[in-house]
Amino acid sequence: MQTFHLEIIVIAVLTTAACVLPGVFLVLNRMSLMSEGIGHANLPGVVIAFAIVGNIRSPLLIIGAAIAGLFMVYLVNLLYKTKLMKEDAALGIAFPFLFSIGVILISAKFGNVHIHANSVFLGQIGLAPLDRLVIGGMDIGPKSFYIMGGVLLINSVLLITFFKELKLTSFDKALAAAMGISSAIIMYSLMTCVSITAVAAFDSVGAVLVVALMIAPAASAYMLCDHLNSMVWISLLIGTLSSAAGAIIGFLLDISISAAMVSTLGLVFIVILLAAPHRGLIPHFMHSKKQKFIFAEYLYLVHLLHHSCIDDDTDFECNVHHFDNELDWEYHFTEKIANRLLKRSLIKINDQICFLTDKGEKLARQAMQTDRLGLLAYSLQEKNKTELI
Amino acid sequence: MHEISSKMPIQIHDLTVAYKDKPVLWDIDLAVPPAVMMAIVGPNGAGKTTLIKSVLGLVKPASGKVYVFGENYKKNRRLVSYVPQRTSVDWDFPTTVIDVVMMGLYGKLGWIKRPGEKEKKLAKQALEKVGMLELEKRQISQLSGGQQQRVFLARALVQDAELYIMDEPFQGVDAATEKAIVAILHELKNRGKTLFVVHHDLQTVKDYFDYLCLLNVRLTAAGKVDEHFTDENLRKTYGGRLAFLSAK
Amino acid sequence: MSILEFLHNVIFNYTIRNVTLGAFGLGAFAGILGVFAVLRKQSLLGDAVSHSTLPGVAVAFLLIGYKNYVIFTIGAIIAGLISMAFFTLIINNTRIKSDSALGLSLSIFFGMGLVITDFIKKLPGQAKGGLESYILGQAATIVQEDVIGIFGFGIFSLIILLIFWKEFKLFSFDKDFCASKGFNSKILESMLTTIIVIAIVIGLSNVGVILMAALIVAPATAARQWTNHLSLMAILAGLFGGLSGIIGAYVSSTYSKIPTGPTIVVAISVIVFISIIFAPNRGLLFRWLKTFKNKRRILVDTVLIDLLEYAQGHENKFAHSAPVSVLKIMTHGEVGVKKSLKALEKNGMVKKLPNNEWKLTKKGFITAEKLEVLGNKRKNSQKTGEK
Repeated sequence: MQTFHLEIIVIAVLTTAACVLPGVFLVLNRMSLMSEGIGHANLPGVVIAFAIVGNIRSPLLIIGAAIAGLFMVYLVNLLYKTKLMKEDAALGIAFPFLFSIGVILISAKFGNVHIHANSVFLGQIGLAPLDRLVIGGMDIGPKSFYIMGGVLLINSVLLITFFKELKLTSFDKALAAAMGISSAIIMYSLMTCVSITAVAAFDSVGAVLVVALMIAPAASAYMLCDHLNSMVWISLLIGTLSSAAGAIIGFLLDISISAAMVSTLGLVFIVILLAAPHRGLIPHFMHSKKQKFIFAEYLYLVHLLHHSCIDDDTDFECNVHHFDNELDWEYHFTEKIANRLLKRSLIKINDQICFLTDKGEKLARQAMQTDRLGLLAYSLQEKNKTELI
Repeated sequence: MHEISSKMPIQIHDLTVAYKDKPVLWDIDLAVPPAVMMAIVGPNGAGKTTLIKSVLGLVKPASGKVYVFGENYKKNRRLVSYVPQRTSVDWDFPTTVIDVVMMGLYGKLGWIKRPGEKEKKLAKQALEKVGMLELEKRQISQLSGGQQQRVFLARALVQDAELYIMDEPFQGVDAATEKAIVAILHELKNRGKTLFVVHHDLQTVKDYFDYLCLLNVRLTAAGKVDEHFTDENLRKTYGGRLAFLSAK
Repeated sequence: MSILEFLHNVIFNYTIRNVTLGAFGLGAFAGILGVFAVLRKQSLLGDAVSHSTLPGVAVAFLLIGYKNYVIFTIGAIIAGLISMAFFTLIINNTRIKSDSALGLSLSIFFGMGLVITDFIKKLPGQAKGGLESYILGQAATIVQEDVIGIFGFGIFSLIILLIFWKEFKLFSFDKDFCASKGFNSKILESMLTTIIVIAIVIGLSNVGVILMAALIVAPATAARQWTNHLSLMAILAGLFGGLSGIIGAYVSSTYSKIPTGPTIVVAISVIVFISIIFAPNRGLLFRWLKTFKNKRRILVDTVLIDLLEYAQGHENKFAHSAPVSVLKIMTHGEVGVKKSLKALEKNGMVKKLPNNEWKLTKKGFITAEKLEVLGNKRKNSQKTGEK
C-alpha cells in the first residue's frame, strides 16, 4: 500500500470521527434527518459565498455554508411554528427549496463552474491527498488532514465542554429547562456543529453520504449500549473502523471510496441490527419465541388455578382435551406445553382431568402476583438447574 | 333482532394479553349482560383500552376467547359501534362534521361503495340527536373538546348498533356535554342497547352506570354497581393509591 | 419566450411538448398522491424512498443494459418497497426511532446504489448517460416514452386511489375505528405505501432523487391551507403540482441555463409560502387580522362597559357623562380610547356633549348591560370550570 492510500484512510477516519460526534446527539434527539436537510441546504451558502469571495478554496465558503445550514433549521422552525404543517413537512419543504436555489444559482451564474453529479453525491476523497498544504516550501500533508482534523477538534472540545448540558437536553428537556439550560441554545449550537461538519465532509463524501456517517455509527451503537459515554466511544470505534475498512475495500475493488465506506457502514449496521445481543432482531425473535413458551406455561398454570377453585367447573374446564379450546390455542401447542409442565411435575393428569401439583400451585400464585413474567422465568430455570444437580 | 337481544353481548373467556413478557390483561373472565351500562374502571395502565381493543379484535390475545353476541367479533361486527379516545385522532384532518359522522356507515357500506343521500340523511339525524346539526358543515379542528366528543357519539349512533363500546367518552369535555352524553347513553340503555364504557371518574360511577368491572391487569370485581362498587374492591384495584378516594 | 410562443411550442415542438407534459404530469400525480403521505405524517418517507430507488435502477440497468423507462421504474419501485420494509422492520422491532431509521435506509440504500453504479461505469461499451440523470434529474432529455410512462403509472395509481378513496380516508383519519369496521389495516397500509412509492418513482427522471421529496410534500401542504375538504385538497394539490411543473418547463425552456427540476421545486415552494400567508381562514395574514380585530373589539367593549360602570356609580345614571381622561384611567392606560369612542359614536351607542364629555345613548345602555351580563356569566362559568 502506498502513502497515497494511507493518507486517504486517515482522511476517511478523521471525517467519520468528526461526523460521529454530533451524530450521536442527532440520533438521541430524534433529529437525524436534520443532517440530510443541512447537508443539502449548505449548497446555496457555498454558492453565495463564492460569488462574494470569488475563490473556490476560501475558508469563507465553509462559513457561508454553515450559515445556510442554520438558516434552514430556522426556516423549518418558522414554518412549523405557524402550526399550518407538521414538522416533517416543514423539513421536506425547506431543504429541497434551498437546494434548488443553490442549483439554479450555479447553473445560471456560474455555468462554467460545472457541478458534476458525482462530486455532490460521492465527494472526491480519492483526490483529497492531491491537494496539499505547503508552508514555507515544505509539504506537510494533504489539506484535508487539517480541515477535518480541525473540525474533529472543535467538535470534541465542544462535546467535552458541554457534555452535561447535551446529555440533559437529550434526555429530559423539561428538567434541563428547570436547571436553566436553554435547550434552544444547545440545539442551535448542535446544529451549527452539524452544519460545519457537513460542509467540511462534503468535499470528501458528498451531501447524501454524510447522513450515513452521522447516523449509522450512532444508530449501531444505540443497538449495543445504554450509557451515553459508551455510546459515544462505541460509535467512534464502529465508525472509524468501518470507514477504514470501507476505504480499503474501495481500493481493492477499484470503486468509489466514499460509496464503499458508506456501504461498509451500512453492512456493519445490518449485522448489528440482526445480531446485537438482546436487542438484535435474531436474539429478539429467539427470545420472544422462548418467552412465548414460558408465558404459555404460566398461562396454563394460572388457568388451572382459576378453575380448580370452582368445583363444578373443574370437570369441563380442566379436561385436557378441552384446554386448547378454552385458551384458543392450537391443539399441538397446548399438548406441547402440557408435556413440558408434566415433565417438571408442575401438573398431574388423572383420568383426563388436569390438576396442579403443590409446586405448580405455588408458581401459579407467584405468577399472578408479579407484573413481569420474565423475572419469574429466570427463577424457574434456575430452580430446574439446582434440581437436576 | 329479538334473537340477538337474548344473547350475551360480550363474553370473555380466559383472556390474556401480553406485551412481550409483560401481561397487560391476566386471565380475564367477564360477561356483559344485555341492556346494561357497564363501566370499565381502573388505574392508568390497568389495560382498560386493551380490554376493549381485544373485544374489537384489534389486539391479538395470548390466550382466551371473546364472543360478541355469541359469535366471533368478525361475524357480528355490524352490531357493534366503537368510539375511540377522542385524542387518538388528528383533529386537523381536512374533513367536516357530517363527513366524520358518515364514516360510521362505512362499515355497513363495505369495500368500495360510496355513501349517498340516504347516508347523509342518517348522519343528519344522528347529529340532531347530539345537538350538533347546525355545525354539520364545520371543519373538525374548529370544534371544542366537548363538540368533538359529540361528533364521535353521533358517529356511533348513526350505526344503530346493539352494543356500544366507548373509550373515555367524558375525557376533557365540558359539564353540559357530559350531561348530554349521559342522557343519550341512558336512552340507548332504555331501548335495550348495551354499553361498555371505559370511565375515569370514580365520583360519577354510581350516577351514570348500573354495572361495572374493576380492572387492574386482573379483574378484581365485576357486576352490579350497588354490590361491587365498594371500598374494599376499589382498594384491591387501586392498591395504596386510593387513600383519599372512596366509594361513598 | 412569451407565453404565447411557449404555448405554440408546447403544441408543435417535440422536446418542449415532452418536457412540459412530463413536468405537468409528475407534478400533478405526485401532488395528489402525496396528500395521504402528508396527512399520515409521513412527509419524509418520500425523501427516503426516492434515495432508496437507486440500487433498483442500477440493478435494472445491469440486467437489461440500456435505458428503458418502464423497466427502470419497476426496478425503482421494488427497491423503494424493500427500503420501506427495512424501515418498518427497524422501527417495529428495535429501539431506533423513525427519523434515524429513515436516515439509515436512505443513506445505506443510496450508498449501495452508488457502488453498483460505479461498477456499471467500469463495464465496457455501456451507454452510461441514463443513470446520472436519474440522480439529479434531467427533464430536458425526456422523450415521448417517458411521458407515456409517467401518465401510465400516474393514472394507474390515481384509479386505485379513487376506488379505495373512502377506505384510505377513514384509515388515515382513524386507524382503530377503520379496523373495527372490518377494513384490513395491513392491506390498506401496503396499498397506500405502494401508491406513494409509485408517485415518487415516476418523478425521479425529471427532478431527481433529492428534489422529489418536495413534490410529494409541498403541493399537499399548500392545498391544505385553502380547503377543509379532503377531495378538494387532493384536487388543489394536483393543480398546484401541475402548475409548478408547467412553470418549471416554461422557465427552463425560456432560459436555457436554468434547469427544470429545481425550478419546479422553487415554484411549488413559493406556492406554499403564498398559501400559508394569504389563504383565507387558516393563513397567517387572516389570523393576524382576526387577532387585531378581536383586540380592537375588546377595547371598544371595555370603553362601553366603563362608561356604564361610571354612570352607575352616580345618582342619575342616564344623565351622567364622563370625560376622556377618566375613561383613560379606567382602561388602565390602554391606548385608543378616543378611537373606540369614535367607533361607538358611529354605531349610535354614545354621544359627545358640548363640554367634550361622553355619554351613553339608550341603545348604548342596553348593549353595555347585555355585555356586562355576558361577561359575568363567562367569569362564573370559568370559575366552575376551574373547580
